[in-house]
Amino acid sequence: MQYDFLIIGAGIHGNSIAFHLAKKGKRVCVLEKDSPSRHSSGVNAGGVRRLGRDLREVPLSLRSAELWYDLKKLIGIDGGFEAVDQIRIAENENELADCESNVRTLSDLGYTHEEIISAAELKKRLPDINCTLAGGIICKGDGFALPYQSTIGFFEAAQRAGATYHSNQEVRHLEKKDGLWHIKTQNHDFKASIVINCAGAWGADLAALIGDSLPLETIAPQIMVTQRLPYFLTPVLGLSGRVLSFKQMRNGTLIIGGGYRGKVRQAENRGIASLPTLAGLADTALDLFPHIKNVNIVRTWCGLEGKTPDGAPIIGPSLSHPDDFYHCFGFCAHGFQLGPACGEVVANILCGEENRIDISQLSASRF
Amino acid sequence: MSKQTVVVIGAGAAGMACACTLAQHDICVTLIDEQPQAGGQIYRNLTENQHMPADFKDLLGSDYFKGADLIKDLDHPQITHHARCVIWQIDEDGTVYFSVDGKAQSIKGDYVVVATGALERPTPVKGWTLAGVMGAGAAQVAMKRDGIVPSGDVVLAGCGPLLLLVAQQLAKAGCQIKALLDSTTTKDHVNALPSLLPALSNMSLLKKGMEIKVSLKKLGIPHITGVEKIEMSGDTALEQITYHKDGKSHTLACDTVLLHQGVVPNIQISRQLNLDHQWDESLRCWHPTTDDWGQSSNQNIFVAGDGAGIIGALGSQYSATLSALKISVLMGKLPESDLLKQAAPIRKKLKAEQAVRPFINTLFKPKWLRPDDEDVVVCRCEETTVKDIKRSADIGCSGPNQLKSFTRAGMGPCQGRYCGLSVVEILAHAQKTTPDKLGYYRIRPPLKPLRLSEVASLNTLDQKDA
Ligand SMILES: Cc1cc2nc3c(=O)[nH]c(=O)nc-3n(C[C@H](O)[C@H](O)[C@H](O)COP(=O)(O)OP(=O)(O)OC[C@H]3O[C@@H](n4cnc5c(N)ncnc54)[C@H](O)[C@@H]3O)c2cc1C
Ligand SMILES: Cc1cc2nc3c(=O)[nH]c(=O)nc-3n(C[C@H](O)[C@H](O)[C@H](O)COP(=O)(O)OP(=O)(O)OC[C@H]3O[C@@H](n4cnc5c(N)ncnc54)[C@H](O)[C@@H]3O)c2cc1C
Repeated sequence: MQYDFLIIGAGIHGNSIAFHLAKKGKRVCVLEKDSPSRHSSGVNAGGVRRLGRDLREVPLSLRSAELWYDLKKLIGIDGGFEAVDQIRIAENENELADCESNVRTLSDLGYTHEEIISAAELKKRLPDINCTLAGGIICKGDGFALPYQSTIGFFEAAQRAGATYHSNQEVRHLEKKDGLWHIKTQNHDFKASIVINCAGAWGADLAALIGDSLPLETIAPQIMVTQRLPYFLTPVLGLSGRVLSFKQMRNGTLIIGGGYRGKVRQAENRGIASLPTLAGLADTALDLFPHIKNVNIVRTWCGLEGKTPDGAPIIGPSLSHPDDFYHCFGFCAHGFQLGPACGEVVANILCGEENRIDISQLSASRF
Repeated sequence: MSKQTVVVIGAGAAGMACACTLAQHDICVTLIDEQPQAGGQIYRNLTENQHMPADFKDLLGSDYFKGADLIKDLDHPQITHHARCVIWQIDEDGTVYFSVDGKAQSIKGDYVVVATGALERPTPVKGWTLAGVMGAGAAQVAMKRDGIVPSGDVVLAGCGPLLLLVAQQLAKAGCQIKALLDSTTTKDHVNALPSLLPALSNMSLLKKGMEIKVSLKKLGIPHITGVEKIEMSGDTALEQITYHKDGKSHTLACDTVLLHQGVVPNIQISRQLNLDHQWDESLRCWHPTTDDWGQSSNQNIFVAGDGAGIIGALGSQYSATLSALKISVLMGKLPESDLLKQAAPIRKKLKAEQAVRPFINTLFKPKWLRPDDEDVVVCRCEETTVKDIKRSADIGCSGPNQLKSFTRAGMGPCQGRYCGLSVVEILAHAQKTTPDKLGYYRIRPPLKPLRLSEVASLNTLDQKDA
């Protein structure tokens, strides 16, 4: 069997691209070294936010938000998506000035999704909060979804649209022969016209197999989850001056995450979550909500993710094989939200169809 | 350089023996246990119970009071015993994190000995979640710790030496034991026969087993063997138990049912440490892979006692003593040339304990591992049923970790402690494969729930990167 497209990696990006390509009638094959949704895409915090995006990602992120709202129409399930406001709190005037400057930059470019929210309005929305409120940014109608279910939703929809999947197939060797890619895993050979690298934290390793040298660091973002609590918080919270992502799920548990990282053990295909490294995060959470100090943490976990030096993903043609090898990896711990639109945009580009979403600044050539 | 320390986790038979041997070799030991007193499962609450009236002491049995010397030896200047101390994370380098009185602390051991013993195997049979149904071991804990025994009509069901012992202890304590429904079959007896000969090298243990059986008869407890299947029912709480034997079913009204299908190594810590494990086909459970001295796949970590593979209280002591000797050598406190000499008599006694295990394991072959009834709840924290698990298997769920994503099984506060083995048995059966191929839950901190404030109090190691 000779495929039009062979995708490496069955995370949300590989699955979304596979789905959109298969829907266009292309012959698509996805190879996954473990099982679909096994890594970051299946274990992330589920945050679906536009707030605070790198300017280069904004068009993609806004398009994704539209697709999240209509996910059920797109892939048949809603992935547990719930629209709630995302709020970034400024705790002092300096931070507020930063927030205002960010919102101004966006509005100068014509983007209106981020708005300034006053301290008084914040207090009304967050009656239980204990930190000083100078104001902040609100992005109405961001939200969260269930990561595993959403990613598997794309996987199943892609299969229904005709994509072929092979789990436990680790791509180890790629070679161009007579105008075709010959892809070798530990025990099988595949052939395809175009290859798409959606290998997440392993993206640079794959790029290296075809002679593209791209900078990528592996990180292990981690999360802690508490016991179930009575409902007290609707929006998803972040802070302007401190690291935190804080939300309450519908079942009552709190999901607390942010930039505190676990240990990376890439050779063992895992990361190690560690509570002591989350101490600062717990401290910040308690600053905001002292009443949860006796709440039990019941779980922690982490996942492996690729991070580029400038904090934005690499989406675009290969440097050495620009015509038939495409990169889409390194989402720097915020790629879940981008999944639905990224698949649509990449599929349109690769099929030579109309694409209104500018992702040119994310291409590999910037490194 | 900081003082050399060994952290021993668990103050049961194994942990105590290990700590004492290390202390004798002039090694500083931190002994950590979540219980208020040293003793572990078998010697639980022994210090207090020594002051109980003679008839209570008699029902606990002479084996129980054998632990007194070990507990006394813990009073040694080299041993610091942290009681009521919950361990919630261990790092590969031997750093152990725990909380005492709600305050988080850590200590780094040059070596860590995991001696966290065994857990009762979960027995997910129909009705096992009803009020009034619990583990026989749990009932024994209540008796040793609080002197409480179940009131009303009690039925014990399952198999294993501990089930028989608990039946005897409860009967002596005046419980109304309506029946002992034993899942051991004639076939199990036949299968166990070939391993009886090697077991004869440990006559004392076999004799003890016989004595219990005779005593059960004397106490007038109806002992029904060959019970194939049981189910409990009741409106809100337990009302009756139905059992099946020789193709017929019988129903007994009762107030308490005590289930038991043997004990299995408690592998939460060894799994969190990602140590190598191996599947024991006869006991249908995992245990960490260790060498003859209990050293695991991480050379800083030793595993001793029942936690390394079920071996009983005496065997646990011996295996832990061997680990302590080896560590003494590694820490330069015992000449390497003396190791084998000192170990030889202990290893001989350990061999005698090991010699009976095949007989016990075959005779008390664990049963009721997978409920047929699809509505039985398997993961009690997240209320995942057999049906949920089978449905996940049908749509391609490949193992227990993926099952978490499919059903949330194993994601509750107990970290899968009480459903892990059942989940794997059900999945393996549905996938027509074996548990060792499927693997076990990945265990991540916290090993036991801990409060946000306890984590926050560790905010000195600031490892954030924004
Ligand atoms: C704890 C945590 C919390 C997060 N929270 C959020 C959040 O709230 N919001 C948000 O938007 N994002 C969040 N993220 C980031 C988000 O999860 C990722 O950016 C996103 O899932 C990346 O998707 P992916 O498809 O690129 O990668 P992955 O999901 O990692 O998929 C890559 C796949 O490629 C496979 N692969 C690699 N090499 C090979 C090979 N040689 N052959 C075959 N297959 C291969 C891997 O096995 C893997 O399955 C979080 C991440 C983590 C870890
Ligand atoms: C419920 C039950 C009852 C039993 N009763 C008997 C009996 O009456 N007679 C008999 O011969 N055998 C009995 N056994 C078998 C018995 O466990 C062993 O033979 C023997 O006690 C094993 O010794 P050990 O030191 O390996 O483990 P244990 O004696 O079980 O000691 C393990 C210790 O580790 C501690 N621990 C575990 N996890 C943690 C943690 N995360 N943090 C801190 N501390 C921790 C526990 O509190 C415990 O004190 C029983 C087993 C069980 C499960």
